[in-house]
Amino acid sequence: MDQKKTPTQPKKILFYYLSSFSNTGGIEKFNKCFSKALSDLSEGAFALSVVSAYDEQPDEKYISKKIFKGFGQKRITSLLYVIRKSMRTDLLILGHLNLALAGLLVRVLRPKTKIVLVAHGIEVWERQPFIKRLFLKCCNRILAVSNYTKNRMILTHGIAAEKITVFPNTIDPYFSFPQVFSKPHYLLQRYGIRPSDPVVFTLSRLFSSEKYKGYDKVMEAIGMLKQTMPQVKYVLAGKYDAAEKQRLDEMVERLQVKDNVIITGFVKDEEVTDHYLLGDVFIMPSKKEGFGIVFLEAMACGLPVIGGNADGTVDALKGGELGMLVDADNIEAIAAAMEASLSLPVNKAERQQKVIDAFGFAGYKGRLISAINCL
Amino acid sequence: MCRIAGIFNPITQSLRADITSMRDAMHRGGPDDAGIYIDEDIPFAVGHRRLSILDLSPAGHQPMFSSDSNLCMVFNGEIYNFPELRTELMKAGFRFTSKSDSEVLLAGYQHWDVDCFARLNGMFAVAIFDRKNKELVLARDHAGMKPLYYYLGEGKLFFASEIRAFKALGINEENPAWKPLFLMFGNIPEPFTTLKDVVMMEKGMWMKIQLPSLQKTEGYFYKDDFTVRMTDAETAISAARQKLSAAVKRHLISDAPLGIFLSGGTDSSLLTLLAAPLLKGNLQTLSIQFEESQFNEEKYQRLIIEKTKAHHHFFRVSRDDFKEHLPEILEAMDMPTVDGINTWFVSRFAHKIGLKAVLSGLGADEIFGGYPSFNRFTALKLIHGFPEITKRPLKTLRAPPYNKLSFAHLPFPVALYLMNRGLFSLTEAVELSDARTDVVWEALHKIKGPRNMGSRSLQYNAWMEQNFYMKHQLLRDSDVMGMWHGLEIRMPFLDKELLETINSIDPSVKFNRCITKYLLIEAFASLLPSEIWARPKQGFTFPFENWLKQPDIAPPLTRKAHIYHKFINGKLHWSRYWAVKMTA
Repeated sequence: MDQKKTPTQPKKILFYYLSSFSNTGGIEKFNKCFSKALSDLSEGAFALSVVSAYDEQPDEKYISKKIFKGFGQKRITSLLYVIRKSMRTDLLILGHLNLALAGLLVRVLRPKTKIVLVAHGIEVWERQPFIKRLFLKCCNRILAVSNYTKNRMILTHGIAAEKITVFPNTIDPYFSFPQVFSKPHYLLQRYGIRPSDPVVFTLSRLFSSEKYKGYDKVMEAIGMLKQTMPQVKYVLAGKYDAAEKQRLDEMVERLQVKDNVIITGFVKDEEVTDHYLLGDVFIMPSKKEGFGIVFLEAMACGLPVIGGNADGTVDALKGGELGMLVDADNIEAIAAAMEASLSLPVNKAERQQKVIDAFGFAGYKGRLISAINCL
Repeated sequence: MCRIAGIFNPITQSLRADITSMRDAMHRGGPDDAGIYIDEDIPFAVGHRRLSILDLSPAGHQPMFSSDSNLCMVFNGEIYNFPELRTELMKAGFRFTSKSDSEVLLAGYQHWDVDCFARLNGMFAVAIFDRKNKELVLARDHAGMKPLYYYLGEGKLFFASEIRAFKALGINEENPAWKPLFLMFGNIPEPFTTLKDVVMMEKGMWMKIQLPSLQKTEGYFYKDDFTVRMTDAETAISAARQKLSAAVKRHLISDAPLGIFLSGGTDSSLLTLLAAPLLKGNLQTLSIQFEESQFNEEKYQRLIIEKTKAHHHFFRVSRDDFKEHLPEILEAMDMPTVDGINTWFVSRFAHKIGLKAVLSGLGADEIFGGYPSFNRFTALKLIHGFPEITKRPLKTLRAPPYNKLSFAHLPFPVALYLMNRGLFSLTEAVELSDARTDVVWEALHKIKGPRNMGSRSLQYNAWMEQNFYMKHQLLRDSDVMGMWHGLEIRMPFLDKELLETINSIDPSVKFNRCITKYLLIEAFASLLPSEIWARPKQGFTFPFENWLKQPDIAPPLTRKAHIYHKFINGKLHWSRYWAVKMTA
């Protein structure tokens, strides 16, 4: 008799990642949302375990202590634990290519276990050492956060396109979505900004080792823009290192934009939303963004956004539907995009709704379950 | 975008009738307006048929005269950078009465003389007559996108955009080399045509002709330059991205409705993705489909349509459509070709939905390396370099594709190209066309190869693809097929700035054995869905072979029966059969 074979859905799933609570950044944010989504989906469907190599304790909002195991920097111990646990697991999801060794060993010791890798951005674009290359060949599926990451993986590693699923990021379900979009008074005061000043905003790590985020290009563009818009303010927020701060200070001096540029330094979690609200436009013409969750957050606060046209940002901005894409090397284009954005009227509530429709957490969970089930 | 013609003929009694019949033989390419200028004293005449795309008003009427009435111009094509030139000329004191590119071109010539051609970024064939000095200048664009044929001899000069214009005057004597050339190439390579004394003007060239002496001076305003100047991968990727984005933007300039041929392949998908944000909801795309599902690319087209929210038109071509239109297609061809039928249909549909101009992905394969010929080149080059005596046995090879190796012994620059892309070998071509070998040899001698270029690099193959296959086959076919339906086909990949940049990139950065059009994919990896470019390669997407085998569509060849039988039995590729049929 002809019986239709239904795909066997995994009963036991193990998610192994580096860190999400002990660090900040795009990948950490991804891991938090991913754990939360898995945990929501697991109810009545499959047994879930979550293992972190670096975190010690979970944030129980995202993941319950009962199913979490944190190894607080003890990577080898965590590796052994994962291998042992994988012997009784249907699906192992690795949160980073740096965990390739675990994947390879599980593949050898228990070929039945399906293995999925999450590919974020720059960590998978370049040529890789042998172990990682081998793992890329033998894992079952790769979830790439953007079409750009997928394309780069095919180009660099020759992986078959069918093996890679584009799985875009989402906005943290606990992100504090503003209801009212007025500029926070205390921040205007703190930074000495008049309520009528047009404010350009960037939130990013400011590290001297990362030269691709493009805020230095924005600063040069501000130098151009202030000729026609002298009251324009550029608020550049995020943790910086000393070398980068020095470079930026020198730039401010050279471009004579002292009255226009405010470098805030690290922004506390509870002030993040307020900082977005301070801006009239968010910009980050990055060149090596895997996806750019920060754009989603900015849009969730109702801001028009401008991003680079040559990396994963294109996915976050839905190919230009949700924001403006510019050539990240072209200062005039950056200045023109800012000027255009600042002079257009904005319906912030509508923008917020648009990004929730496109990248909200509910849709994300739907994409995740279909990705798991079609393995 | 139009059709042009001109006559200098001291012995004719019917100059007006002659120029009218030349002009109107090409009426399909210029349905909107027509004009003539005649100077009986010289005697000289030019004619023009207009397809209006920029400045649709009567101000764009041609022949067009300069403000001092001394220059008289007929122009076929489109100057994409005319707004910049217009500003520059206005600074120099010129005043313009229309918004057309033609007026800018004419003023440019008035101001810069022949140096103006080097400043143009566009596709064009133009003739400008200086009434005071009795001097005619002809010029053709940098890539050879627009045709300009001429006849110069016996104290007479004729020029036109199509061969049929010469035939309308009774210039009918056949070129004895065209058939064997066509059987080898699948097209008729420049400078040759089917007519004995009519030749195609070289691309990137201007020619000044004094009347009535017919004394000729000529020069190049554009020369192919494949000198490697860009070797850094990241610079090259970013340059490709910038130049193509700028090219697409330039090519969207139009006062008439404009669309995009969307096949679902990398090139047309990329054009659609780049044009979508610029046209803001006004994007029209079209494609053709066949009942035979194995030729269907709809899945890929839909992916792009969904992403860009383009207003897409699917058109179906059935066996009966093909049967019904084949005679007209053959007429539209102007000169025989083994290609262009797809373009005929898609242009017809574009015209039906009211489009006057479309963007096409033509050129991407030649400049970014999209053909298997790029992978075969090194091996073929090696064989071509063998000593003469070892190549002799290759001459006897007859079974395709090895018959192409028989070209290895030919001492012409085109030999390497024919080894890669030839249809029939020299011996076969001579036999099939009953031509004389010496006639063919003489013709092959006259086909120009690349100058000052090391033949070891893949740059050499890119030169050949751009100058032989693309120019002689694709560009000519899309010109005649588009114009038959009053449709201008624009090719952003052949934008002058883009072409210059990509041709100067190190081949090891530009080409990749495993990934075709590697640099293009790298440059647009953020934009191109991988489903489009990382998929199994598809062959020619036209169910041609099956249709041509049906006797009610294409009656069997009686004179070359053995060729027909081979084709029917699946032993001969349809394109070879078609080539023989066209010469029979």
